[in-house]
Amino acid sequence: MEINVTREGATVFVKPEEEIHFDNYKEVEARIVEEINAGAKEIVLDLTNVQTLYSMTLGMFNKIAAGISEKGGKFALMNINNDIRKVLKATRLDKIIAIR
Amino acid sequence: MKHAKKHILVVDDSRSVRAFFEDIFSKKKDYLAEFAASGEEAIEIFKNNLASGGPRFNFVLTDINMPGLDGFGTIEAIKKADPDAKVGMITGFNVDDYIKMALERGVYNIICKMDAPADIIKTIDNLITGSNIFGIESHLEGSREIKTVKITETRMLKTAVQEILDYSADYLDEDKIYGLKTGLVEMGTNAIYHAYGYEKGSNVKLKENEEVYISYGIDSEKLVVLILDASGSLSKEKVLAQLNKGVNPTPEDLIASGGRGIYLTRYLCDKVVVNIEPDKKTEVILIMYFKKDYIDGKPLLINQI
Repeated sequence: MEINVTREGATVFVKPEEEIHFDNYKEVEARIVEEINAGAKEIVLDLTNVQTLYSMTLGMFNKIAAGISEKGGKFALMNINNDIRKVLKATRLDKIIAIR
Repeated sequence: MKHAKKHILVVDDSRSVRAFFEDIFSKKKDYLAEFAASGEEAIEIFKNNLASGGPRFNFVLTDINMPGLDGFGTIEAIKKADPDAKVGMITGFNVDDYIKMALERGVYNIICKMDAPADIIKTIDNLITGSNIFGIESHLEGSREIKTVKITETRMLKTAVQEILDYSADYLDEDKIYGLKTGLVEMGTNAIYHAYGYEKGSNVKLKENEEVYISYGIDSEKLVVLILDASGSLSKEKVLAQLNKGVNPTPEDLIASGGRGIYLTRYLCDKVVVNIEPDKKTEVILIMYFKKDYIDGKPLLINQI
């Protein structure tokens, strides 16, 4: 899976170039963990190319948020569509994961 | 040979609801319905029936909110009198408001009053007969074509999901297609990964005895999809506990990394039925209506034989 990574200061923008699915979400997670371990203070996951959020992706968000928070950093989502917003609201994750 | 009628006791404090069910059951020749206006009256009727030695009640359907003894208390008293009694609840309110109590009190079926009478009868019929709960056929009316796909590896799930979405495109709007897609992937991955103990995140090839099938078909008003795994590793308690975590999450549930699949599926699909035969099979049935929504009135339908 192609994952585009750009940096602006201490913020790292991670943009999967295709849908996050049950057989590739760990690649996204691994890429983000790599950035956290390299010292990123803020990770922003750009969901421009993601149309659908599944429970495993939500679980991944929570793992990443917990991991970066332990190191004093922050995790946020950006460019989410209305369907994704609906799922985040239904699962109450909109209350604990920042949305830009 | 003359078949015995299905003897059913309907408990509701509302005169109009009792009249509604009286009308429904009077048109069904294979049903004999009796009515109680309170939980206390229902228990008296039930116990008198047991003592009389006459035809036992095949099913007790009770409203939840009633003055005096509520539906949960009524079911408990009836189960105490006859542990084998088959029971179900019905409500005109949002079923999700009762999920926590259902989990605490061991109730797995709550029917919605706003469901079509034919659907209510079908649900009750299935609960009475037990073994009829399995299979896609019992959810489709009239002539229909049912297609079945055998999934032998995870990449096939993506193809099957797309095939079903393409098939549904003429019948469902965009919101429903989104809900169906989510439900198919959630329940499909559960059937492949969770049922057989694989870890999500990679392509998995199932062994010969690890069977997963997806069947789908339509009738005049809905699309029905059935996802079957032959592990039967799920339990009704686990399904209800997962739903409760989604509906009433604790702070720990909110930050948990798993356990939202069945909740999301029920949230996004019109109706979800889970049928379990322990150690043999689990069926998850997703129903999407072409014209109506069940956003605030989704029933709770978890069956285990």
